[in-house]
Amino acid sequence: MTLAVSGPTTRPKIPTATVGAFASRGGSSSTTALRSASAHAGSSELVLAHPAVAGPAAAGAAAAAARGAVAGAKAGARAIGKGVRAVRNLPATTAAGLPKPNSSASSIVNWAKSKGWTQRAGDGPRTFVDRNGVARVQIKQGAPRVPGSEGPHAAFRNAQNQRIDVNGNVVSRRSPANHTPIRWDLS
Amino acid sequence: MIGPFSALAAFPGGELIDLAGSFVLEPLVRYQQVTLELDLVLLPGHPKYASPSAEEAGCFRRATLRFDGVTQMSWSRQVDALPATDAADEPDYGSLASFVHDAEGYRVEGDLGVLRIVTAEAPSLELSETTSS
Repeated sequence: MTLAVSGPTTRPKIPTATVGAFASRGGSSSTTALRSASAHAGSSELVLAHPAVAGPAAAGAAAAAARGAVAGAKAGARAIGKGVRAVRNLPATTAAGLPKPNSSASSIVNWAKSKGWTQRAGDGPRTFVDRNGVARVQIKQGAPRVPGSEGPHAAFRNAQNQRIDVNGNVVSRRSPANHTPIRWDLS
Repeated sequence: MIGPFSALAAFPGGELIDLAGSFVLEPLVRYQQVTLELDLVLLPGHPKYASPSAEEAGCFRRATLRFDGVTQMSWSRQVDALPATDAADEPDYGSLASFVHDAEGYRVEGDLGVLRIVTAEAPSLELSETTSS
């Protein structure tokens, strides 16, 4: 990573300690996040600007760059989260904390285990129950001859044992929302 | 579709029923009789099949699976059988994993646990004329 200070070509030298506002390309205002985001974005350049000495135009540019830095940090954080999920084989989740549609079956199994739920014994589809005995998630391979349920799918329940969709809404047992499509990657 | 549901073969059109995708609504035990109220999933080709609406994940029909002349029955793993509720606040006992007939009688297994039913009579399966829930 290389560092460069931008602004008017004839500006006074700025003591490092007074540089309060800075921005980066593909980086962030936080050193840690900056490193992460830059590493993710493959950025190798950091640009510093100080509004007080660089003039209004530079201040505007700095503000815009700061907004970009925030966006970059968010992107970096998302990338980090995605990387962690990939390493642990966990599914991406909705705002309700449930696996998004088309998650892999194995990632849902890992997600259920990460919640402390245990797999129910016996024949039938993989079912994970919480400590209160509620079957919180069940994954099925589907039946090729059943229109509407022909593919692998998952069914979720909340702690109150209500059938829910991936957004946490209580749904009808018959509804497609109670049959969330997943990708089957289990033997 | 029959496989673990081999006892379905005794019913007309039994091979066109998806018990794995069906729901058990209520198990009822009476004197010498056991009934399972079902939300049954029918496959294309079944005489009562109709294309499902966009609001439903299959062709569902209310049905009653009834065992008469029962001399013994047991219901094990009831701890697994906490009934769920849905948006209509209707309880159900989930789906079935197997339905077989062997030397010991009929065995019904699923989210409701395991039912063992001994009877010399063949069970009956009665389907509702409507798809309404």
